[in-house]
Amino acid sequence: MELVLKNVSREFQDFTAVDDINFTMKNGIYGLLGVNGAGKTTLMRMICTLLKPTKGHIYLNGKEILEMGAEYRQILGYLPQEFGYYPEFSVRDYLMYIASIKGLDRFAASKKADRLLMQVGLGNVQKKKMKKLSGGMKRRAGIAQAMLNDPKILILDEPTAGLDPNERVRFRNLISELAGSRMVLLSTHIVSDVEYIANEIMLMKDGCFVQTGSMAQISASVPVKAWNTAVQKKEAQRFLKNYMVSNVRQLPDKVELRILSEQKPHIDAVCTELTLEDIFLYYFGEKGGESDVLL
Amino acid sequence: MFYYELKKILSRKSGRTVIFLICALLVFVCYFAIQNPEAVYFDENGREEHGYRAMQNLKAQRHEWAGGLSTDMLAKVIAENARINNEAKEKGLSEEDVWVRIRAFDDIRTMINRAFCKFREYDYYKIDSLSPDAASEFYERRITNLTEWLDSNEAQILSDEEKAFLTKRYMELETPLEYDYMTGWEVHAVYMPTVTMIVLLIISFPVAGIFAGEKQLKADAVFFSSYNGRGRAVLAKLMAGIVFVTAAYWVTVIVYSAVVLGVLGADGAGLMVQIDVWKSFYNITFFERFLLMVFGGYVGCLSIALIEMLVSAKTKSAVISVAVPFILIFLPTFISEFVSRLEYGNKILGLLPDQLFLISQVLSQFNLYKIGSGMTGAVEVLFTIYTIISLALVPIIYAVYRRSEVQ
Repeated sequence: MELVLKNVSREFQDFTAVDDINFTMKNGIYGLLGVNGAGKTTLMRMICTLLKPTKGHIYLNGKEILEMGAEYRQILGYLPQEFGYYPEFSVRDYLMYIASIKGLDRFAASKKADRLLMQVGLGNVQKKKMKKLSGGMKRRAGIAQAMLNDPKILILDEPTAGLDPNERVRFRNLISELAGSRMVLLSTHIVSDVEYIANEIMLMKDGCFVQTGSMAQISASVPVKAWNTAVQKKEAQRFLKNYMVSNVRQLPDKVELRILSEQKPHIDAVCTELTLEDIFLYYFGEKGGESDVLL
Repeated sequence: MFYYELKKILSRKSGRTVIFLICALLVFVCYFAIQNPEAVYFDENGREEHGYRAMQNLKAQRHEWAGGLSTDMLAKVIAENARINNEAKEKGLSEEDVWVRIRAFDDIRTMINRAFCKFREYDYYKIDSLSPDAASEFYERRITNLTEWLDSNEAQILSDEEKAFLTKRYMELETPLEYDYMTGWEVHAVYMPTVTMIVLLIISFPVAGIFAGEKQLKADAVFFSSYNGRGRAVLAKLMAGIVFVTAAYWVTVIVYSAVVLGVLGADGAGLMVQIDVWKSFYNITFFERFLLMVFGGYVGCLSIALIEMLVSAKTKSAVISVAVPFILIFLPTFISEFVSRLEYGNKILGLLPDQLFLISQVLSQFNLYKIGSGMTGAVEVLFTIYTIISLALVPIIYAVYRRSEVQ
C-alpha cells in the first residue's frame, strides 16, 4: 500500500495552509510534527477527503482518493483533533452508530465494538453517556471509533492533546499496539508522542515539510550538536542570549544548560545525542516549546 | 443508521421538548375547541353546556331541522324565526334568550342571511325582514349575488374566463343542499390552521439541527470520512427528518381530530361545505374539506421542513435554519398589504406556503389560476406546487450535504 501526495496545496482565501507537499507513505507510523497553525490538520483533512486540495492530488496505489470515494473511505480511520460526539448517546450506541456509517452490519459491529471497548479500557463504562466521560475516556472512544472498520490507513490528529501525562503514555502505547501492519499518520505538536513510536517523522512549518525521515536521518540533517554544561548564574543570561538553549535547570549554586551549537560553547560543555525535542527547537524556535508537554 | 439518526433527533433537548410542547398544544387546542361558542348547548333553563353530552343534546335539537333544504324547509325556518321574534317582543325576551331559541336552526338562519344580503355584506338580522315566500329565491340569490358582484368594479381584476368559471362552479352546486348537525367539522376547521402551524414551528427546532448538528457537535469530520458518510448516511439523515416531521404532524393531527370529532361528533361528513362556507366555489363535502386540510397541512409542513433542511445542509447553521419556517409562515402577513396592491399580488399571495395551512380560508377565496387551457382554483395549484417542491428537495438536499467540506 502506498499513499502518494503529489504537489498538494490548499489555500483559504488569501492564506495558504498547505503549500506544495510531495511525500509518499507506506505501512508504518508517521509522525507529523509542527507548531500550531503549521498546516497539519488541513493536510490530514485532505488525506481524509474532508477537504479538496486546491492544487495537486493524493493517490492510493495509483488511484486518486477523491475519485475512489467510498472505496477509499472504507479503509480509512480518522480521529480528528476536535473529536465531536453525540452527547446523549451511550459509548456503545456511539460506536454502533459509527459502525453503521462505516458500513458494518449489526452483528459484526456489535462484536467489533465489544472487542474495541475492552481494548481501549471502556468496557465497564459502555452504557455511560458520552457527555459523562472524562477527556481521556472520550479520546479512547475516539480511537475505538477510528478502529471500528479495521482501517488500513489510520489518521490521528493530535490524539494526545489535553491528556494528562499518564493518559498520554497509555494512549501512545495503545496507538503502538493498534498500529500493526497499517499506515498510521500521527499529527502532534508534542514531541515525545512521536519520538517513541514513529518510524518516520515529518517536520511541518508554514504549510511545508521542512524535514522528513527517520529519527537518525533527521538528527543527522541538523548542523548543530547538543551540549550540556553547568555555568554560574550570572553567566547564564549571556548563553541564553547568544545560543539556542533547549533546557535550563536550576542547581543549588549553578545553572545547567542544554545548548544547541555547532561549536563547543563552554570549556566544560559535554556533547550529547540530539533528541527530537532539540531538533524541534532548532527548526521551530521557541514558538514550538511547551513546558507542559515535556515528558 | 436510520434508527440512530432518529435517536439523535429525539435525544437532543429540542427533540424531547417537542414531545412536551405537542402534548401541551393538544391539551390547549382541544380544550378551546370543545369550549368554542359554536359548540354550546343551552338547556331548558338557558344554562350553557359544553362537552360530549351537551353536543348529543345539540345534535338531537338540530336533527329536527335535518334533511334537504327545500323551499318548504327554508320557509319553515323563516317562519319560525319570525315566531320567535314575535314571542320575544311579547314577553320582552333578551337577545340572549332569542339566540338560545334559534340555536337549533342557527346554521340555516345564517345561510339565509348570506343568501339575501349582497355579495360582500352580511346582516345578522336580514332574515327578520323576509317573508316565508322569499324562500323560493334562496338558491337563485346565491348565483345572482355572484353575477352582480362580478359585474361590479371590484371584480374587474377577474378575467371573463375567470368570471365564467366561477359562475359555472356556482351553478354546478347540486341543490337543494342537505342539512344536518355538523358542528364537529365546523369547529375542527376553526383550529386546524393553529394546530398545523404551531406543530411546524415546534418541530422546526429539532429539524434545524438534523444537518447542522454534525458541525455544531464537531462530529462532521468522522461522519464525512466514513464509508457511508457521503452516501447512505446522508440519506438516513434525510429519511429520519422526513419520518420525524411526518410522525409529529400526523400524531398531532390525528389526536386533535379524534378528540374534537369524538367529542363534538363527526355527523354531517357528507354535507356540502357551502353550509359553512356559503360563497365557496369548491363543491366539496365536509369530509373532503377535512382531507384537504389535513393533507394540505402535511404538504405544507413537509415542504417547509425540507426547505429548512436544505438551509441547514447548506449553511450548517441551526440558527439560520430555524428562522426559515417562521419567515415562511409569518412573512406573508407582513407583506400582504403591499403585495395585494400589485396586479397579480393576490395570486402570488395565494400560492405562498402558508396557504396550505389555511385551506379552510382558501376554499372561501377566489384565487384562480390558468393552467394550460383550463382554469383551476388555488387548492389544486398549491398541492401540485408544494408536492413537486418537496419531491425535488430530497435529491437536492442529498447532493448539497454529501459534497460538504469540513474546514
